[in-house]
Amino acid sequence: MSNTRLIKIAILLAPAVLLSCSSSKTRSIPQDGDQQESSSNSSQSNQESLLEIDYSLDRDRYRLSFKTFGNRTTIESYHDGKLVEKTEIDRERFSPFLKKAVQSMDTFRGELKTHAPCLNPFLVKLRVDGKLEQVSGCRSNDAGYLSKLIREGEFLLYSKRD
Amino acid sequence: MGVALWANFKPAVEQSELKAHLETNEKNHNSRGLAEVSLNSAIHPGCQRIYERVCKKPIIDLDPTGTVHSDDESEKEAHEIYREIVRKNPDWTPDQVDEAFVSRVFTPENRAKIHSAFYLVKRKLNHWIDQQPDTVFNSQEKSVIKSRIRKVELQLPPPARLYQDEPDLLTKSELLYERKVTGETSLRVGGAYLLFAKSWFNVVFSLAHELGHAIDPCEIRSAGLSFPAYDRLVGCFLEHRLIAMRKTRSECGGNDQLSETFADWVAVQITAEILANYSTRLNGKQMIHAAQNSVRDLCESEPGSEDRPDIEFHPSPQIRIEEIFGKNPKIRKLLGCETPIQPQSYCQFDPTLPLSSGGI
Repeated sequence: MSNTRLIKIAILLAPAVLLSCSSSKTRSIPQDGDQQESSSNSSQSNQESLLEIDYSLDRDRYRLSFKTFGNRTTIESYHDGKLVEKTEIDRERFSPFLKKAVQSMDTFRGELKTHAPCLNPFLVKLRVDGKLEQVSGCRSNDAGYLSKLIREGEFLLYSKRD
Repeated sequence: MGVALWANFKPAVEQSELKAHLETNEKNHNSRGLAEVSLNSAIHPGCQRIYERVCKKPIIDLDPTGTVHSDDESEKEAHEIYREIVRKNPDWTPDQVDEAFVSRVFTPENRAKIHSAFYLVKRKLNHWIDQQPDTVFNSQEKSVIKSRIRKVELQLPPPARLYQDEPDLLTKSELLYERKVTGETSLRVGGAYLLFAKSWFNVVFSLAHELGHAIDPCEIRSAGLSFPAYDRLVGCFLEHRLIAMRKTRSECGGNDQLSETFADWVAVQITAEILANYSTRLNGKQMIHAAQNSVRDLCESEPGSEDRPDIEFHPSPQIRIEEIFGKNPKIRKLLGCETPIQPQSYCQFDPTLPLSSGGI
């Protein structure tokens, strides 16, 4: 799959979500990756797409990050700001996951809201062609979509390198 | 990974087994005999600095039931197991890998340990509520609170699909109390939490904390209930700054630590009682290490590490360990700290009662 087509998929699947944030949740999303965030920004010009899933579980904060350059996608996982795993996969293996992530972002936007404080919030960010879209939500309200997405992302991480 | 020593501490334990274990421990660690040591022999000079005592990891951990590993260590081990399964079985689906992972990690022994602690903590919580004087809870309030505790379901795989709505939890180190939008409450245990021979008393504290959420003031409020005793307790938490006072704080909403402070406070009462039940079976130093292990995972990470515990909903590690844990009179006694703490210096449901009232 060509790079252009991949970007088109991401944009076409989420036309109405650019720069929107659906959540009225009360807990801010973990900003543990300040360091990583700044490095992301510094390399943004060379980066074709970025997908980041930030989430909290009790006291712990996690991030799964997917950065695509050319035909390769780098996957990094962080736990409380520390890099735990890093691997590279072929872009074609990443494409179905990216498609699912974009679809999930739509689902998160429509999730059931409650007045209870959100103890385990999440934030999914997608940056394509310099355009950032993000959606936040609460783990207990999303019927498991986030957790399944994380599991699939981790599965790519654990799989053998191409 | 060592043998799970917690099994020696089940209520039905044979005293001979326990003694044999402790004798082995004595040889290994040059500790003193079971019956010879009183708590006073191990009084620590740092009774005013409980946080430092707890968080300075001992070179040799004398807690005979196990130790406490960091979440990082546990999750790395879980990742290794998961990766090994994936790479040995490249054609498997994530669901197949999850099942294989569960059979490796959620072993009958590990499940039994969690089951045992869960039901012990439930019993102790029920008893604790029952023992509260009528000036704290009337019989109807007690019934409501106990019913909430009773309804929390422990969910432990296998099968892995038990966590099908939360499959990433399988490799995580958390215990989670969850209330679904349907109102059902459950307690789930991350697979990484089960790795290593974890201190029995850390398991007890962690489960008591999670079960404490079932009756925390925010859950009670969310259920449309209100108890005067809770209001008094919350007032005490605020007065003692066990809850961070922030301009943006909204009680039971954003930037509020009330439910976490309450869950810690409940867990300390329950853990103190369970530790005390073992005071005749552990020697002084073992008891101190066991007590410290119960909350060691609440410590801040090593200096220089980027690992920063969340303190938005949770009180800081210093507040949790120094104030909520370290100022509990029963805990202080178990730690060999005789420093008198004034009754009004530790929060309880009814501040007019002596600290020994409403015990377990």
